[in-house]
Amino acid sequence: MQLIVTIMKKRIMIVLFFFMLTGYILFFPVVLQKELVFIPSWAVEIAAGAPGSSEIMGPKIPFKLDDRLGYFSRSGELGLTAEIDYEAVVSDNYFINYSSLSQNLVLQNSSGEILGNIVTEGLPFLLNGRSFIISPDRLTVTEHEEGKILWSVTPGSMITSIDCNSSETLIGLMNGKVFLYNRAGEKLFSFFSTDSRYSIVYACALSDDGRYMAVVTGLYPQQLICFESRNELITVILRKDLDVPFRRNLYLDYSSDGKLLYLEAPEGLDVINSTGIPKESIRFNGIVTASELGGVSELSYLHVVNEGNSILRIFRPDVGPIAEFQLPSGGLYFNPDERCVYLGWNGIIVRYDLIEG
Amino acid sequence: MKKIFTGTFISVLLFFPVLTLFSFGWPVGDPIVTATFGEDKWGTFGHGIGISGSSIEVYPSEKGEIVFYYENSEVFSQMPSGLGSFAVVEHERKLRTLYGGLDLSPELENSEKITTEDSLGKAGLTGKSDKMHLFFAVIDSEFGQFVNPLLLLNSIADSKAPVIREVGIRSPAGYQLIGREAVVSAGRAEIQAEIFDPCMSEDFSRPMAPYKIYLFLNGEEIFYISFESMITEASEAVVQSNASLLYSDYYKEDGRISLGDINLVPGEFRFEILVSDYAGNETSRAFKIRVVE
Repeated sequence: MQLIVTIMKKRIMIVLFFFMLTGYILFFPVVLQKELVFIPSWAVEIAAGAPGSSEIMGPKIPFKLDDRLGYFSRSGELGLTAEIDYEAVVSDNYFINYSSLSQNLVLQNSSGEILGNIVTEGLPFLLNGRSFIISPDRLTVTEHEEGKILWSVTPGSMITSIDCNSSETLIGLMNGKVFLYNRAGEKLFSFFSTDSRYSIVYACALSDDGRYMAVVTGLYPQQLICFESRNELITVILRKDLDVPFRRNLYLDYSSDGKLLYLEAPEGLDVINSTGIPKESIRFNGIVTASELGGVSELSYLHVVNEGNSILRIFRPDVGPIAEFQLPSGGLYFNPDERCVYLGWNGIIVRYDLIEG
Repeated sequence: MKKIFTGTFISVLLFFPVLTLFSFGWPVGDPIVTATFGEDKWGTFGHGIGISGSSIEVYPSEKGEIVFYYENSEVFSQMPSGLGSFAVVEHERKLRTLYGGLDLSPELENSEKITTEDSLGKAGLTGKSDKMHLFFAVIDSEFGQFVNPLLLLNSIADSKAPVIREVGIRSPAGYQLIGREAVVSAGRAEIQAEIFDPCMSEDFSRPMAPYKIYLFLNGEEIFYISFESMITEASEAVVQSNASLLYSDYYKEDGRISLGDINLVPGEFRFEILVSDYAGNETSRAFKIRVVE
């Protein structure tokens, strides 16, 4: 009799468990993410002597990899390629290939035709689609548009960091000051923190819409200071001491929608809500050397170097890590495009198509 | 000569604390100065000095703390660097020293406090330079200015005196070279000269700026510059000595410098240019000008 009761209890438990499980699945279904597949579409060798005509059909995609620069088409045709003298900047519209002692920057279009030149000893660079020149002593920064000087500023101390969106430029200085300029070179905002024993700006970031700004400044303590611009008033919304200070430029950048701020931490990145609320951390060993940050529900890319290892991490802030490419050490080219990403290393550029399955 | 004394007195007074309290050590062994403070460099006043030496190992000039370093490769940075890889050391009294063109020591990343025995790295070719040398600058954080490092470093032997190669007068009529004697037209004119301090090393032929330049008119000082500190004002570099001088007011085309404007009236005048370097070597040149209508 006792045995029959025990068996009945077990059966009831099993049935109960079955109903509970069915109910759980019905009411709390497991949301499966769509599978994201990276499919190699084509590969092209960009080394000297690689086949390629200087004229290609469709949009020309700029690249700089190892000691070569050039353009290719979305279908993998190689356009103009050239050996890099000392350094180069390559944009959609022009490229500058310059020597280490250059006193004259020559701008050429993607067909190699000379567009103009800028007499300067400065070094050109691209930032968020805008073209700048930094003087060799880092005391002056100049913006140009295809060779035409738009504005120039010598803010009074060495420039340690810079960021910009389409209309404003944020500059951090060796003396701890931070200045915000418009595209006419007019100073819109200045800031100096007296909280630290030593004043230096280590990083600065500006959101694409100009609503948020962030700086990492000072030593003892080193602080992350975030600002919000509202109704033409810029106010501090976060002032946070960093646990481990950096003595070099560190990674600080907003997501493309301005909702998240990524801050380099000793082991990875801290993610902070733009309003100043800490969100999460992305843990990895190494230093971010390049990135392309999408919005909260978009793909983001981080290139991380750690003791010779080169890793491309792909993630979505609302989902988490998606893929990780272990790449050979050395130069890397990566250029995310619509539904594809161009990756280059060891003289080869590969297009990967992103397909959601 | 009274004005020389006044100018020197003001300079000494301004930098008295600096000169008396500090004596920085040279960052490399057996140093040779290859570029001086205030020289025409990269389209502005050079705000540091170039140093070559027997040893390429670079040490801080004084004990301090690494407050910033930049490495050409690896570290995320939005900008290239004409100084190559560099390190900045904070010393007492709000002075910072900057060491550019370095191959940074790998230990630097974990360094905080450093002594003059700790290597910062090796002088390399990481900057905008074709020869191996160190770029060295001193920043006075308190006053927001670059200070001439050669005023803080122990003086070194220099047997080569400054050179006054050419003197001329620029007027609306053009540029007229001046010999020992010259006849010029009356009116407003600018005294220009090609003056430089030669480098001790044959490997570096770049004309360096001397320390001080005086111009006298009939024994009265009418121009004086002494490269002691530099700030930026209205987005342009300004050398501060007894008066502030803008880069664009001082450096002219063809390697000449401006010794100021003068209103020439008919008569005879005696000019003298006196130039000195950091080792105390002096060069002077006198010339007579007869001004006619």
